[in-house]
Amino acid sequence: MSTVLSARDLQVRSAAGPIVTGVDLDLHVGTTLAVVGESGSGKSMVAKALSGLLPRGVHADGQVELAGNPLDLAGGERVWAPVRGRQVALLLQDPFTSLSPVHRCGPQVAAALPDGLSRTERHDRVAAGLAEVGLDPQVARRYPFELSGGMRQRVAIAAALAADPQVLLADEPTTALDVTTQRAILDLIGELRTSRGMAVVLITHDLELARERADHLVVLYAGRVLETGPTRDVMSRPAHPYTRALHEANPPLEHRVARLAVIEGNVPRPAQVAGRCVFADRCPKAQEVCRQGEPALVEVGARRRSACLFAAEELAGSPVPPTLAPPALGTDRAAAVVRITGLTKTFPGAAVPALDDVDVLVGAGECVGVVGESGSGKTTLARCLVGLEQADGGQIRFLGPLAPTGDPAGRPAHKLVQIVFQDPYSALDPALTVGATLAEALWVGGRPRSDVPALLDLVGLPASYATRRPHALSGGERQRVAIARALAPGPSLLVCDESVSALDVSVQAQVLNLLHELRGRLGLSLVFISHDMAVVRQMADHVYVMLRGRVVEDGPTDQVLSRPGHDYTRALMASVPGRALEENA
Amino acid sequence: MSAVAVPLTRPRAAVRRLRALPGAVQGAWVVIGLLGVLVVAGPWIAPHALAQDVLLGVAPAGSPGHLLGTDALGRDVLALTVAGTRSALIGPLVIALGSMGLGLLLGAPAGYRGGLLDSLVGRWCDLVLALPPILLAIVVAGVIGGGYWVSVAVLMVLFSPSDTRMIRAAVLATRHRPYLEATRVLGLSGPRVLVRHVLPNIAPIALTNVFLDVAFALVAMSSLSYLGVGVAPGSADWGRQLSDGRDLLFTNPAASIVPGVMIIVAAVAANVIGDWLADRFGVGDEVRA
Amino acid sequence: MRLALGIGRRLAATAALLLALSFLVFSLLYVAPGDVARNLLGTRPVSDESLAAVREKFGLDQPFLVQYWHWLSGALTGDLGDSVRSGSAVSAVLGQRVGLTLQLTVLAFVIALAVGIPAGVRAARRHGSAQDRTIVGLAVVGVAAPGFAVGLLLLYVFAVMLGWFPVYGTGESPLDRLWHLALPAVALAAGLAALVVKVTRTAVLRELESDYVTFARARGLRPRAVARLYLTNAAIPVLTSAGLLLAFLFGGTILVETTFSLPGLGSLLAESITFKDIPVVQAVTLVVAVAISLAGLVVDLLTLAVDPRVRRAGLT
Repeated sequence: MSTVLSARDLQVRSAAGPIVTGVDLDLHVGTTLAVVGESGSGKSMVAKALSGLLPRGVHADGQVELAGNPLDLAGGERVWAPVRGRQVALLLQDPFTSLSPVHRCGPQVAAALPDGLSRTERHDRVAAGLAEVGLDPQVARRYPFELSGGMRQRVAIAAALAADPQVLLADEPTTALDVTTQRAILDLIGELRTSRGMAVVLITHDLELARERADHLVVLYAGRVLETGPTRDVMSRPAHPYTRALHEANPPLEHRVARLAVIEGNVPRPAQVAGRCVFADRCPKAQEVCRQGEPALVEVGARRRSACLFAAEELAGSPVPPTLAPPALGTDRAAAVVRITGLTKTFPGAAVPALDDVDVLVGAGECVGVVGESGSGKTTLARCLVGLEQADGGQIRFLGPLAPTGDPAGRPAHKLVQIVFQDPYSALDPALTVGATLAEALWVGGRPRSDVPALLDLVGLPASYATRRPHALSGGERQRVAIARALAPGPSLLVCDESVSALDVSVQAQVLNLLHELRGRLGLSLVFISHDMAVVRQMADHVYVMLRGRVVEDGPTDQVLSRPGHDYTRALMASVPGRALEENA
Repeated sequence: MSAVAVPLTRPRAAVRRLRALPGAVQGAWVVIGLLGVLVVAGPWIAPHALAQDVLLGVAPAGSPGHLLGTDALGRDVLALTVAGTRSALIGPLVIALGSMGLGLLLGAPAGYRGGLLDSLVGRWCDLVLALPPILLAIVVAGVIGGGYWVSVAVLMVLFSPSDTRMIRAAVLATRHRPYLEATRVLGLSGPRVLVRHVLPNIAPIALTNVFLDVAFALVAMSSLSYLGVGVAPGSADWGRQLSDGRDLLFTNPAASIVPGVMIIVAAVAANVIGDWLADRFGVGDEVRA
Repeated sequence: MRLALGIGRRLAATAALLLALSFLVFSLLYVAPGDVARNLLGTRPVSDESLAAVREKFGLDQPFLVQYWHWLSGALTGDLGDSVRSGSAVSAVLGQRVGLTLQLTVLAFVIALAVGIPAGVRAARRHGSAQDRTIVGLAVVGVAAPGFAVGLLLLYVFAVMLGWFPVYGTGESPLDRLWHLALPAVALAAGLAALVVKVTRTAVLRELESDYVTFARARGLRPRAVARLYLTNAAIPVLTSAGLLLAFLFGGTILVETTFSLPGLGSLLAESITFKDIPVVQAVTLVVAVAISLAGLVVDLLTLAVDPRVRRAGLT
């Protein structure tokens, strides 16, 4: 196995402080190396440093060798111009923005081709490149906006590979795509790696995805490498508590656990944890010595290294099997709180309906999962349910303990149903303090401002947070405040529209546990909308699968997920990263 | 916002803050401060600015007793320029605040509620913006018969469509933010949401554009008086001075150059502060005429 | 189909806008203080007979809308009435003046684009450098400084002090004309170029920060090829701001022509306002409105050629 790219003590700094410190990499021909990290780990900066594309004011340092030749990281365009495209190419996350919107795909792919080709040669090379990524040559004449996300990412891959690079850096190449498309794109990258004898650096936040796709792992946290090693070894016997905790925080797809494992606290910024073990503050096994200095990354096995002082104990320990919860085989749906019948909605100018004759029933105290990809209508359903959107036809009827308000349109009153949205960063009014936001929501429910501390306590935040503004909060904390705001008027039904999908895995588990707990404590019914089958497995009693505005399958969660009745449900299940391995293990 | 309020309240803190700013912005604040002093204290500094001395006629700059010389009517150019600060600045300030007020009044509900109101407001803006504001102002104020406050009122109305559009766009951009949708799910009333959640979040845009509007209004007002529309003949006004002094370019160039430079300096200062605020608040740098 | 529909809708909107503007322009006659007939007589002797003649001629006894219709149908056939001041046909007065204004504005427009676009692109590419700051600084001054003040400074420095350019006059031969129009055109172009710099710089900066530029560099495209990508994208907002630029140009030309005593449409408007020559004021305003609306239409059609997304969605 020959090494095509190696880095020793790679550092990335800005004027504000270090971003990434002490990264060592060895990338072999025909293999995939995954750099795994949550937000703020600096993983994208590693990719940018290795392609000479760091933003202004950010500098890289360290010894990097590319195909046997040393590379001056600070050398500027003179050094990088001959390298980029021909030796290293970087594939970006968002295929919707990574191609110029006003140029056709063909010329964009052709732009990186070497000079001196005739017109027909270029044309043929573009057609061949598109064919290589599974696209029709006709796509060359299309504009990016005429293509789907998956097709755009294929065009981008063809463009990235046009000059035949030896190394492909793929920065979250599938995060912006639907789950079923994700798998196809990852498969394609894998095939191209083999057929072209390329090496791939896969930058990802998803440990399970890395586990499925990479030969070697580099686990990054707060700008530090905590563990590296061959994927199989690292995943079967982690040598760092963080790797283990990150793996365990991932909700399992195959079974339901009583309580998700969490990593307490929030993902820190590198500067906050300098001079000690960066994970010590959140590590359940941290000792005093962990905070006294920064542990070095030391050899702990064959090609394995860990930055934990107690790596040996960690390796010796065996994973604690999680406590399984009884499978969700269905709840009492006779006492429904909301019954949706024949709901239809077509947005003006849209060719296909967003909702097409949708029937959904939510039982008292039940958590109903709604799964589907973008365009399935699941978000429109949520918005109709809380009155943000008016359906064209059909009925939403609130029943039972949610006494009907007599609204003939069937529109829910705010005391009955509330919603928590996806994006924590725009969930809260930036101009108001947390206390003011919550006080207003309490006022709606006829409760006094003095209930704010109790409300914060309910979602696991200290009362002192009332004086803070949203920008001083982490994503997980904002989402907790958003939940508190939704609960303030005392709703009986809470709609969660992808409420945890923008959060880091370690924080996502905390919020999921909180929702589960609140449901039991307050007797809430939940409508849990998600694209993530594993999360739905943990949360929902009953699940509805949506495709292009229609419900294609519904039933008790365990039944639907374990024995899917519809091809689309099977496709969704098959797309979840790590599933194939899980079955073999 | 605080940086704007502080210089007026705590002088020492203000100086400290001022020193931390980029050079051009420092200079702009100093210019605005000095002009403010002239607006307030002008009548005491130059009490006899309008006193004519027909016998003296045009005296060149550097004449005894007249540092910048005199104009055709024998009026001291320096005193006249000092006295002209009032009409040069007060009108534009009123225009900027008034047009932003109109912009908020029309643009915020139009952006928030949409529908018929929005299309009516939109058509109105299209109509006014179809012609250059300066040309329209000259035509309307000129035909009505001029006068300072007539010009101010006309410009206020003519400036408001671009403010309206800007506020409307800003409101529209916040309309689908989850935090606003959450208030709708909470069942809060439209006016309450507008006042409590929408306006505070677009205040930076409004403030920024007030400064930019002041700059444009200053240019527009002096353009009107330059053409003889804005102010009565014989009153102290920079634009008027400029048109009166145009014929004196060979005898006393200072009579037109000095007020001309004053107009440029004041407009640049307001613009620099507007651009700086836009930068600071991360407001899109909207270019307008 | 969708495209044709979009263009059709755009044409109808332009027509509707011009109709509304023409109505407002016509009502100027009634906004002016004093009796309409008297105003239309101007300095001519006022007698009962002459007033009656004017009322008869302009149909002032008829309802407002009927008068408007007469005026509009006249305007559409090129009959814009008679000048109050000179008594000659307004169209003839305009004809004498329009040539100079066209020459001046085209010259200024060319200067502004030739200076402003390269400067704006350069400032964006060297974002944050001393060069960028200098260009932005000059642009701020240029945007803020009124054309007549710049004109006077230029007049003083280059005509009075240095004597390189004439103080007034329009010149005889084409080359002489160019020499006479140089200072006014520069005065007019200064503000315009500053606007072009701001628009261009903002547009290019936005594109430079976009993902597709990073991705283009990441796959090894030559700087020239990368530039081709982002300059095409940046051209769209620059193009759509052309209406704004034209408005600025027509507003500025009034002041610049007055400053340099040039007999163009702008100075005609200024004089006509002073003399309350309302038919001429109406005509000039209408001409400018038509010019700007048509320019807006042309710009929208040009965006169709540049932006495939607009082509697909149809004009809105």
